[in-house]
Amino acid sequence: MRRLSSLGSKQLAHRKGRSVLTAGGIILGVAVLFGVLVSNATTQTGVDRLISDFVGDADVLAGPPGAFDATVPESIVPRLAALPGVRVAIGDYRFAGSFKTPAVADPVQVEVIGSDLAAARRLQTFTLARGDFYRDGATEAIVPQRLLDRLGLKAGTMMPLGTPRGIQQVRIAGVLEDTGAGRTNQGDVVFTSLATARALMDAGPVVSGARLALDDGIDVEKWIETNGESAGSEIRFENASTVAQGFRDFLDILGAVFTFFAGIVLFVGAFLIYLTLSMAVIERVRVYGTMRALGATRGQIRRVVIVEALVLGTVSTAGGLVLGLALAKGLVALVSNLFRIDLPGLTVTRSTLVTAVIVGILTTLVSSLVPARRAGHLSPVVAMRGNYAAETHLSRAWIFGLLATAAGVGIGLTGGGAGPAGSPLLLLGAVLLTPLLLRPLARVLGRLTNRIARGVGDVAVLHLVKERSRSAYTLALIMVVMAMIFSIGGLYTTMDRAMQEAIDRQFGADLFLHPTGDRPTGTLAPSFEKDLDGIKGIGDFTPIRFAQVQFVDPDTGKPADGFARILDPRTYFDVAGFSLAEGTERGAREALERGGSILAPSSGVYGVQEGGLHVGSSVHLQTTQGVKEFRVAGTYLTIGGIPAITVGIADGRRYFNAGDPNSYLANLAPEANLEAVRAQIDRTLAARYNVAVDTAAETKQDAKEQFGRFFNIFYAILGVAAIVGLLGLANTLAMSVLQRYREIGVLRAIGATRSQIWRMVLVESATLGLVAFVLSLPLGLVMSLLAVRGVADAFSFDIAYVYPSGWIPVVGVFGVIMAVVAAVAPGRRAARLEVVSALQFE
Amino acid sequence: MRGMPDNDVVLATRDLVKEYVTGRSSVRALDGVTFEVPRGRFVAVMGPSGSGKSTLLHLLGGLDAPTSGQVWLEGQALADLGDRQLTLARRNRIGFVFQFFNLVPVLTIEENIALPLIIGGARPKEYVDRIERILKLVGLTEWRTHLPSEISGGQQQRVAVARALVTEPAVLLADEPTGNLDQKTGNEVLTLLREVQRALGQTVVIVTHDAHAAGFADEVVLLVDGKIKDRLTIDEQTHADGSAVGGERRAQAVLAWLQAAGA
Repeated sequence: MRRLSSLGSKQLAHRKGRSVLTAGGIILGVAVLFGVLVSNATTQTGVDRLISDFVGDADVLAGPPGAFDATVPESIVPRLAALPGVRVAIGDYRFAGSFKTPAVADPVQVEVIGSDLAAARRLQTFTLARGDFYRDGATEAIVPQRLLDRLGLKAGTMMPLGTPRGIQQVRIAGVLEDTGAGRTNQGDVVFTSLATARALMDAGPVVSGARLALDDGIDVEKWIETNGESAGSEIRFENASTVAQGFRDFLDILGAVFTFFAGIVLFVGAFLIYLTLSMAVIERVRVYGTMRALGATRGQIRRVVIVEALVLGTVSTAGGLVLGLALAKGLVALVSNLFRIDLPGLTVTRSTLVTAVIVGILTTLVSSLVPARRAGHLSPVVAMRGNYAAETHLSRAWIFGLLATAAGVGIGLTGGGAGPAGSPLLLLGAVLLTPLLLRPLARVLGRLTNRIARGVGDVAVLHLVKERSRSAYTLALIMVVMAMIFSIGGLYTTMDRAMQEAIDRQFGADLFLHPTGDRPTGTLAPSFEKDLDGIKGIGDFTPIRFAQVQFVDPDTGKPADGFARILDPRTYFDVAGFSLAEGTERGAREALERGGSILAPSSGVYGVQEGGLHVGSSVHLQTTQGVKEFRVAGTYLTIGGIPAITVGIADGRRYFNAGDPNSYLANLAPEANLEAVRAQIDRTLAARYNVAVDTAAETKQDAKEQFGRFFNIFYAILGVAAIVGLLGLANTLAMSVLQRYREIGVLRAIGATRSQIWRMVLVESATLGLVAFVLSLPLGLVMSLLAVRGVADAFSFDIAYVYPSGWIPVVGVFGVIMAVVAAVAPGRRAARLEVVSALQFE
Repeated sequence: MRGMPDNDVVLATRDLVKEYVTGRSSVRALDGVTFEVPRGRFVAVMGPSGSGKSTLLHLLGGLDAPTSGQVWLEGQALADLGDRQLTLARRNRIGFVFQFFNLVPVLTIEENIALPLIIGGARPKEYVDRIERILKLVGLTEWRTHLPSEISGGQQQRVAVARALVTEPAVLLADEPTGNLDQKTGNEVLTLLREVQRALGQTVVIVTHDAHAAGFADEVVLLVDGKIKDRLTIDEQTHADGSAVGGERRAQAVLAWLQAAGA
């Protein structure tokens, strides 16, 4: 050994098992953090690619504001092409179609794009794998290889394309490679000629919009600012690179939430390191005391501990990165499934890697500072006696704990930008309070748990009651994990209840009729309504339309994208309603009929009016007739998805290009049989209009499943935290057994059986677990409140907190499992100790 | 003795008092101890359990500070030294041997012996020869790469002695060096200390409750209830043929003296 500080690495190598156990905390913490960061980056890359596949080389997207199926006369295209700086202008006609073939269980929704091929090829790369390109005006199309394979179709054959005008046969002229244009809409795309697409929809000489490529070097935002008004208010321009910015912002916030939870796991891991290093210092009291006697300075002793931690941190971080990649794969799969977007292979940026490495090593270093200081301050005399008494006095850290807890609750409940700082403060405060709370709680709850090992159980409880720091901080570790489970549970319960209520009120109809597929852009032909009315057993029904809208800040003119629901107030309120926060249904109906008013989410719409909206508030929207001011006539609660405003059909047609409905809500007539009505719709309308029917229960179930998938990501992160907590508890119990070898020898010598000794360890574990459970209930309650608050603020949701009483048994069972599993190895070790060697143990 | 001791005195104390306060009660472990350890002498401090022997050793070694009184090491008052200077004094001028050996379990024998030098920042090439000599002196050359757990208790204590000598200290302090060993092994360790004292002129102070161990010393100081009760100088006795009188005879002499002192 050349330097004293390398003693740290030797000590690590000497206790490989302990080192691995300790390293586990940082490995898992870094893995979760790295996994989340990589998953965030991969998701962003995937979305960027999705957008880029969608827009090709276009710089500007031009289209009519409002409804997804809105169109403009095709004469707009040459006008746009003539604008200064425009290199290419291509008009296309698009609509949502679908396919249902024997090869797929559910219909596959596709984007049908009709455009002049030669023009389209100036903005996107079309590479044919086989066959030919479509001919202008012919009822034929080209599709990507992936789609073809999925549908089980062959090139040259006819494909049954579901359109709002019914199922129409289109010949597959050629097959695109899954690159360039073949990746548009994630490969769920059909390209045909402009004339063909219009013919399929009985549309006249119109286009859905145009894509513009500008000359090199032109600043796109400045060009839009300069030329935005040129085409009139019937056309709005959008920077192609910021398409779906709202969705991207939503993903950013989601990513931040995941990163926050990953941070908590890392905190738990860091805590495990602190705990283990503290125990190691106690274990090595004699070594450090001897070194002080031999002339090592306090600084030298501290450095030994810190080097040990750094070596551990570096190796663990490396391990965490490897595990993190595996976790990232899982998270990416979850996100991809949740949002139905194809995500590419993992995106590992240099900054992500560096961040994870620095955080991992720094966390270990910070966790080692207190144990290092303690080691350096050991008195040589006390240390050389070797029987370092466990701390039985209460340090004053609990005072800081109380202050931090109060501050955390205060900041968290205040909300706003500082809100997220509340939870870490609260956690820290709660941790610092545990030494104060352990003794009285262990004393009381120990009366329950000591029955597991009659006769010797009291010994285990007494040790817990007397010994403050090690047990207290282990308890804190488990308490934090349990509180995290409880807070996620609270978040889930609250959001689930709010979502169910919102669905019940706002989708209160018996039936939801929509084009096949699950995207809101498909439409139903005008004749559908008349045919629906003819279905026996159908009662009241109402059309629903969706549109893209642009909010405009009246002071700065800054736009923000959003969505609107367009409904017919004369029929809507007979079928469904709103969970109104302000306003009345009658007032809302009258205002929407009159026009000039909207209904809005009470929490506001993120990007606009973050403080919330009220009856009488003003909202400025970009319309086909310029920017118009609308008055808020009522506000409602929103949960899930992206918040949308509600507009009446009169305003929808006047200002937002409202065209064919996107869906219908319908109630059954009195005494009608649901299944019979459904069967009739399937028989008479499904094929003709490409329509699907969901019941209210199915809609709720679908929303619940999607919601559940969203939470799977949190559960995955929680699972990791639980493992770290388990490692911490097992570590503490192992240390406890080690310190009590002689005592165990004495107990065995005076007649305790091996089984009693095993159960004694279990009593210690169970008592810690039970105390942690009791403390986690109020902590989890407050954390879940803060979590609900945080999510509501971040996503502009309106949700009333619901106490997750159903999660109490879940957390309880988790505690029991944890206590038992953690006690297995240390308990066995204690039970197997030979009496003589235990009595002689030094 | 008045003022600072002369140069031939390695360790000296004057009116040394050490009081421990716990809660409302206090215990006076040392109650005005004044004595000197001349250079090159082997001194044993004896006394019953609780007499203050280990406390005295800790104060002599600068491991603890007295409640009142003075300790000098080679004329330097330890009270004048700050924590860092005391640490350096322990590193360079004092060697310690403990009852429970206190070897670092993860270091080899060689590394354990070199530990004070490593602490002082010395490079291996600077001390390799010295280690070689010391290993030979204590008879552990072939065990140099073993861990403490792989050698016997007696060998571990010899390693501890080697470690205490590696910095060529002014004084070697041993706290019950044979307390954890059987008689035969204990004798071997004490014989080693004696040989080291004779060969190197090393000043040695041991604390012991064992009369047999004390018999190896030149001088025995009896500590009772924190005070020096008596001193015994053991003459170097030889047989007619010049060989030294055995340890058993010396131990008998100590026992007789203890009895007479009423200890």
